[in-house]
Amino acid sequence: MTTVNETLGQYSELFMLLAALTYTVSFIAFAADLVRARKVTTAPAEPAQEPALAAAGTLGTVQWSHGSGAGKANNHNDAVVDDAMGYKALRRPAARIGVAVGILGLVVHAAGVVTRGIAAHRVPWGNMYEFTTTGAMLVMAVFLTALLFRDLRFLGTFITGLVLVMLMAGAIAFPTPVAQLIPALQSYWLIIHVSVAVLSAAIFTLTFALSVLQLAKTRQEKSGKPRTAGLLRLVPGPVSLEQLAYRLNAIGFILWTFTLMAGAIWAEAAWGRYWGWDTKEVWTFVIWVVYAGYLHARATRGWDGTRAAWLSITGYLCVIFNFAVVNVYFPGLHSYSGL
Amino acid sequence: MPRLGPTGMLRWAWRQLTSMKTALQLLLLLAVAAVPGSLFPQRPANPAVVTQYIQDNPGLGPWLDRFQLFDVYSSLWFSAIYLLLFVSLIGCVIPRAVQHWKALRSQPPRTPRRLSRLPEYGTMTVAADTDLTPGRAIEDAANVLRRRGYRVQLRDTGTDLPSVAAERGYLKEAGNLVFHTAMIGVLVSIAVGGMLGYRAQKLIIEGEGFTNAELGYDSFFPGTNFNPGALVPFSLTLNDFDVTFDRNPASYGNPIDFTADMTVQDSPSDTPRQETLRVNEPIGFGGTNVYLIGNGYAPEITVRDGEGNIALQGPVASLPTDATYNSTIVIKAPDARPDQLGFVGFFLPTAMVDEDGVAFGSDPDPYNPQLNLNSYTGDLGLDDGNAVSVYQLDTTELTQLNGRDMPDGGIVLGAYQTYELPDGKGSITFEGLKRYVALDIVYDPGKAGALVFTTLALFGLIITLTTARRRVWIRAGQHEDGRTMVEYGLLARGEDHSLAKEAIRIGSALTAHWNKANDQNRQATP
Amino acid sequence: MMKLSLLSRRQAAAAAVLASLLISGCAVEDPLAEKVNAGTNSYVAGDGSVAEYAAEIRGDTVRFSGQLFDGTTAANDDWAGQVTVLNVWYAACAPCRVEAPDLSALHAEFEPQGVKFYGINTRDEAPTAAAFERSFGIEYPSFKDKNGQILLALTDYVPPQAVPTTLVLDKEGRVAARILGIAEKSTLKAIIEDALAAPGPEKP
Repeated sequence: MTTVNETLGQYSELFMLLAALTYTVSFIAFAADLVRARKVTTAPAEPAQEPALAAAGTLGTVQWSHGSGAGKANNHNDAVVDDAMGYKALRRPAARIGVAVGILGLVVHAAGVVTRGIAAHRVPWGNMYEFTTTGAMLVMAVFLTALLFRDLRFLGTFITGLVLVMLMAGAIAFPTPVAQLIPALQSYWLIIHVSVAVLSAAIFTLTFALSVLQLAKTRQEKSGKPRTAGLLRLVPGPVSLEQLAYRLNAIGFILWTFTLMAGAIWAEAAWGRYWGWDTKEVWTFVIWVVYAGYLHARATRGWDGTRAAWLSITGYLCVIFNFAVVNVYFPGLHSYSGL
Repeated sequence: MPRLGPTGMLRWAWRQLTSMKTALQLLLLLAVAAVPGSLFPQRPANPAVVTQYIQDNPGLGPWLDRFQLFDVYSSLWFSAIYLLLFVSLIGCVIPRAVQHWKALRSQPPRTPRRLSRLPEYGTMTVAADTDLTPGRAIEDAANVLRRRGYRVQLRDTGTDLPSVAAERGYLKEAGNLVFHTAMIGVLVSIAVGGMLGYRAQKLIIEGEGFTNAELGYDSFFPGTNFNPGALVPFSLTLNDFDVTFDRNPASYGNPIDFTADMTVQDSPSDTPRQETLRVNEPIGFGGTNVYLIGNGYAPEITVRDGEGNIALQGPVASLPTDATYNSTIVIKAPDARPDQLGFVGFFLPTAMVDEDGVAFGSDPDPYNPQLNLNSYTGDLGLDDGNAVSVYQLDTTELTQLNGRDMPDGGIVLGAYQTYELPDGKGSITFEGLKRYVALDIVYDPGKAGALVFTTLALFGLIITLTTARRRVWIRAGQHEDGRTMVEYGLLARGEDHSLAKEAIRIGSALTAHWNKANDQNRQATP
Repeated sequence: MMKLSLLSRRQAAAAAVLASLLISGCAVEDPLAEKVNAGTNSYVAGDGSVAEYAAEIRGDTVRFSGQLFDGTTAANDDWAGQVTVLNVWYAACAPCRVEAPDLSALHAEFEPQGVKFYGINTRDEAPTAAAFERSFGIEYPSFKDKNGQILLALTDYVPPQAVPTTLVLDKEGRVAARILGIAEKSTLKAIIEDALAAPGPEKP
């Protein structure tokens, strides 16, 4: 019988605390970036460069010009970001600090999660404290990974703020000492089912933020105020937010479908039925249906845009409810010991 | 407004039902309809809690029941929503499947006259000295497109303005259809399992056994079309049940291991073999699985009656009420004479006494097992033929002998102790202690189908959400000055966020190809 | 006019199809609850339903053996050629307690005619069973079948699906009748008399 390593468990808690402090710095930097961007004036808009074209034309044999369809590029001159989420030359030192410190925070955070796992001789997602801390780590990791593909630094305050809240909630609401798993959780499906569930929740977190901003931007545009006003200046237009949210939601939905399947397979092995409308199963199903609705809405006339954004937000609220309320307050087979 | 007539009405209703908008609304309605099932106790999972809930809420309870809110997932309204959804789905999938099958067999559509109206559009001009004819250019373009996975058709090849039409991403619609069809398969599998399968419970005390016959079960729930011949004739004996509790101070008393050591036989003629049954690790008998669902203590009791005869002997299962296995127990001795005897109370594995003198259990392991009982005499209610739960005793018609408020006090029995009942009614002895396991035995012939179809659904989903369906047209012509003019246009079908990237890639490939060809040309003719 | 009524009939049929779809659909979803409501669940004690099997359609000769509460082993081969009454019971089974006096009386009546009575006890330890037998003056022996071996053997012929279940075997040892639930005295008596009246197997 393995025993837990309590010293390592205490180191893990120390790492979590350090990570929280680091994220705080990152949060402040991202916030400063948003505030600063309100006032900065940009250089006159340069004509958009054709990607890959400069290289193609040099040999002289072939002349090539390409244009995306008409009516798409209607950027205001004063806007700092276009609809492809490309930013004009704009110095954002605070955002750079935010990202750098955020990476550092993630490294420390990961150390906390890993030491917790080593201390317990198992994957560190067996109770609410561990779901929360591992979930927060994945939210941050998904965000930083997304930065490789898109400049989403305008989400930095939201993400680091949320991660901070999650770490605090874990430490205050669900403090749990390192312990061995109860028999019901002793299954390799714990590794598969829960990790994918938390990963998809992390992705839905990102799309939630995008959808909220999409609604805000839509409202701002409708109100006729100049698009550059206020803290939303760095935020791209609603159409590009919606498109990115859709792509991420599609990935999240695939992962959530897998979560549901893996959960059903595990439930079959543990309780002899793959589906039993346990409270947790009900909400997992509800979330799945809401996001399925979202995907259909995007393809239905009159339901895309704002309505779809509301569905995306509703889906995420269900995810939060499923995690924070159902696990804690609802009686069911998924009530976790050591809460 | 024109009068539609009955057939017209039906057709109109069908069109409405199978429209995307209706499907979407039904989908969202389904999400909303599923929620009450998590707010109110549900009969299939917990019938006793529902009964209690209705008793506790005499005003609201019956109304909730009337609207089937305790049976949400089998209710008329929930069924109506998902069945309408599936009818809508079928009505949507079939025509789309037909359409897709046709599309698979037909060629990409003809080249639009004005490519510049397409969302992605570009032109290329190739210098006159390359001797690139429009026909040659279109062949090159077709090759590039083919290499990128397009289905390609050359058009107007003999004319001055030849073109190529190309389409890719047929898998997107195929994946979509697979996903939705698989959903129907999942529903059918669930129905098959529900009709032909069964689910049953059995409690087995250490040293005891069980054979798979309907009568042997404590409870048995067959499907509507269950065939008793489907019962696999296995048998099993619980030799030993081991429980390990966590002894770390921080998580003291949490269970960390349940292991049931069993001897099993697949059929009476097979040789017995040893098996270990654990949580998450069921034992299978040809499609029928045995699951470890619960466990508890069964104190061994002997009840002697007023005439000195043994009225009851054997282990009696107690029901745990909390994590420390403080359990309720009901003991009935209907054959005690002259009067029947009944006992109701608690079993505590490790009894301690608090400052008020009340016993409580402090540990899930049996360090100081104790029975705390009230005793009753009279008609236990078993002789009128009405089945009663073995875990319940209706004491309203009985005469109480022992209890905290009775002159003789309650019965407190430590291990191996005997208590003489007042008035010479008999005695009760705590002879020993065994553990028991609660098993679920399940036969679900729809299980494999459900797994296959959900897996198909997942693959269909991945394919449909990651594939882009695109059409590309490229047209070439010759300028008066000898240069070759090429124009291209791209169109996405459905969500596609990298259409512009695709256009750039195709353009780059063509540019590179013609540049390279020309370089070679120049080298060949110095 | 004719056409109109035809169409509306078609409409009605469509509605009926849809309705049956809905109803059968929800039945499909939850067969368990329905079974419980309908009372056909075997956990609920049998309803006293009697199934008699005509001599021509009776199955094979039943063969089983097991241990009686007194420790001796018995097999029904031991009393081949006799009518046998088998009763599945346990002490705390309420309907078993209702029928016990009748079984006791029938045993007293038919034992002199060579009818064998055996109990099959599915749950009790010997002292508990003995207390029951004392209570109701049961004089015939019972098998201790807590592990269900005899039940399993009987399942091959006619499964006892409830407690109590009473089986009557004819002189050839084939199941002549099965009563699920409380055996009504006159019914059981008539079945035993029929079995007694039938000619026995030809002795070699």
